[in-house]
Amino acid sequence: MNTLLRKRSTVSSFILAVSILILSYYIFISIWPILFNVYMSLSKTDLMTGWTFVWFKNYISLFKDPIFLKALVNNIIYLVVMVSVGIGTSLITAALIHKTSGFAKKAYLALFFLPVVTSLVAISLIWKLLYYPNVGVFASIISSVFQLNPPLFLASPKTALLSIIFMDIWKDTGLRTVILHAGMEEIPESIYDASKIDGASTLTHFFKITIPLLRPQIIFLAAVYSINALRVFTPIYMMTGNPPGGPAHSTQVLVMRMYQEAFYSTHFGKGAAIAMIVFVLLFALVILEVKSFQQKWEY
Amino acid sequence: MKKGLILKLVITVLIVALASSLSLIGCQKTQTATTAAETTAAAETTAAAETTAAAETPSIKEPENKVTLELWYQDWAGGKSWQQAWIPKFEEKHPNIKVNATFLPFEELNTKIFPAIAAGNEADLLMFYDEWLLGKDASKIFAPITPQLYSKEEIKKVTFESALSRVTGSDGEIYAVPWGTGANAAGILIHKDLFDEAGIDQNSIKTWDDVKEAAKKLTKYKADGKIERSGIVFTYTEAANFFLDMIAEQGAAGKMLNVDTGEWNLNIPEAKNSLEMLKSFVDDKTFDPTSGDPFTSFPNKLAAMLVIGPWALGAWGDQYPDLKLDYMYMPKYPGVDKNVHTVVSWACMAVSKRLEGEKRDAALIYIKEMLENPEFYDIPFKTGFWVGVPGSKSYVDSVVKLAAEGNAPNRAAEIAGTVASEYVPSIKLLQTKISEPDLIRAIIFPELQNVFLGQKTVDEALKYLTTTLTTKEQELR
Repeated sequence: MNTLLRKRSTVSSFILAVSILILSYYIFISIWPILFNVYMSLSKTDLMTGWTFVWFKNYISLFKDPIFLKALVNNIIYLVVMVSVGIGTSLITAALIHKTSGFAKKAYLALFFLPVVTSLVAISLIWKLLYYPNVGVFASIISSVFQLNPPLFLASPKTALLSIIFMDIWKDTGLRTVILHAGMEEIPESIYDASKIDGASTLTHFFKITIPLLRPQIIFLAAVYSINALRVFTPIYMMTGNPPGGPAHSTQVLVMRMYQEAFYSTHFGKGAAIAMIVFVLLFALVILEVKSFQQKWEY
Repeated sequence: MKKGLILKLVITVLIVALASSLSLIGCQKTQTATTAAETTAAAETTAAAETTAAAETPSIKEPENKVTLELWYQDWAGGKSWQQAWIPKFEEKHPNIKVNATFLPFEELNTKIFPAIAAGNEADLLMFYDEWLLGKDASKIFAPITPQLYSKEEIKKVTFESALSRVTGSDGEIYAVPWGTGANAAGILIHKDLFDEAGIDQNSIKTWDDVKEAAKKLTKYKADGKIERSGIVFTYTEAANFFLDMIAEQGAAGKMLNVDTGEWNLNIPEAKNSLEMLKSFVDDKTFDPTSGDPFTSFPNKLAAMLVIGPWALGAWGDQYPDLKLDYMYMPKYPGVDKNVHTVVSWACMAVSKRLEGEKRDAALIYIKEMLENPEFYDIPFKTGFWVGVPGSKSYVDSVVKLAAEGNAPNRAAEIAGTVASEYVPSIKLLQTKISEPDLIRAIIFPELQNVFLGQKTVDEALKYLTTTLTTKEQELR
């Protein structure tokens, strides 16, 4: 018995030691950069010629900078449109696919999923050409087929950001559709049958049954795409990177601003400050997401 | 009991991790303090040795062993062809030196160089633009050129003194060599065939009124009155450069920026005139500010003229050989008798601080050959790969002489000669500490766009620029 207890104790200690090593390594590679970033955000440095501690000057300077504030507003717009329109369109697509069956269902899901597995850089470059003012594919179709004045898409401050958001929504529609569709498949048919007996229409099914029962998936997607919207960089850079931030800063976003401050202007302190602000916003979103998941609903 | 033990262990790990993090931050500070102390000591030693060094001829030895140098160079069509033609010639002359060039697009070169230097993994030879050094001390970034390669007196004979200001460190030594400038906003690139089609002789264009007339003739309109092809367009960098140049040409450089206090003032008539001059092309409907990126629209003949440096003639001549391109030097601003260029990008070559011994000598030899071996500049001048102002004084003199005598080997060289003879004497650099990415790309051009697109009035834009540039300038002082 004592031998067994000793053996167990040795094994437990070994497992504990390994766990501590892994945990220490993880803490070192994730906590240390955050702490260093906090320190850098309170400093003025280009990492080459000097390092001066300036307390919160970088943060104060950022909140007085109209370009930074514009970037913050643009990220919020991105988040609101991406989440609302993105999830809305995916709900409709998923509902329509849910009505099909057999090979058609699989084919539709596969087709919608194709852009999801395509490189965002490649898609951004292609859409940049599609959006080219006056002579791009979209402009040509709108002017020649519909006989309308085509919008300026990426060339106008009014439409540049929405054009990028639209492309981003299109790209991930497949992923959202697959997730929502899987959720729809889980809803028992008996609920719809029971509601039919009570005289419920298709629209009532959709709004009163489907959407409420898809709440966990919707919240999950809202959380994920909110986080993506706050971190967006690739399509902004690829489609409106020359000059950076698009026409009159209309596509300026926080991560782009961070990139410009740190790598164009070598103001790493300011770049770090923007990174901290993005971190705090993302952290707040994650907390919200966790709380939402912990919520229980009864129907 | 187990839970308590695990909790204690987790807390211990967290404390250890926090302590390690804080000690590493402390090390960073100590390292910076140590580096600062070392730099001060080094600067003092350099200053003391300077008197002796100045009297000696610097000597760089040809490496006795094989040396490979990594070079980071900007990837533009003409530039790449130029280096690819030059490197084999250099290696033939210096058989123990091999050069591996990595070509990076302009944006990537800008964002790669300084972080790489901070991380200690930069290339041995580095191409960059001098305005990226604004607000920085070159002595802490690159290896010295003086007194190792040249004395300070010698380098001023080899290259232009005005081009050395930004690459001079706090210790007075030179840390990079300006080998050429694409001559920002020096003139107007044109589609010669479109000019011929419209019956316009480019030699008849002497004033900005002539440019406006030509732009009207060259603009093509759709049935609904919208512009199909702009008569003239502006790249974002050169529009902002040109805006500042015009203010200085009207004699208001000192009013625009108070160098002592770091205050900008663009609420002046000269700035208003300049911005209205640019806006007049939009109002005349000869410039469509929504026509997309000029780097795409101009080669696709969606614009007939483009305000840009002559480097584009070389770059696009190489990239799009079917285009019939030519170049006109910038007409003078109405009512003034000479052009002024306030924002000049000198392309520079520097050596990594990490290099020592034979490798450092090899890198310095590469730079010396660029400036002193006429074959280096012969390549673009005979092929048209690049049209700009060389950093070599002697080569500029020879090209200007050839152009003046009508003996330039080709049109590109003739243009380069004309530009060189006019451009360098007209350089009066704006003494701002704001680097080009902020000054031109992040601040000035977006405001110009706001005016071109009708989002802001001229006065609103100038007010914003005054406030923003002053805040930025004073942050850097």
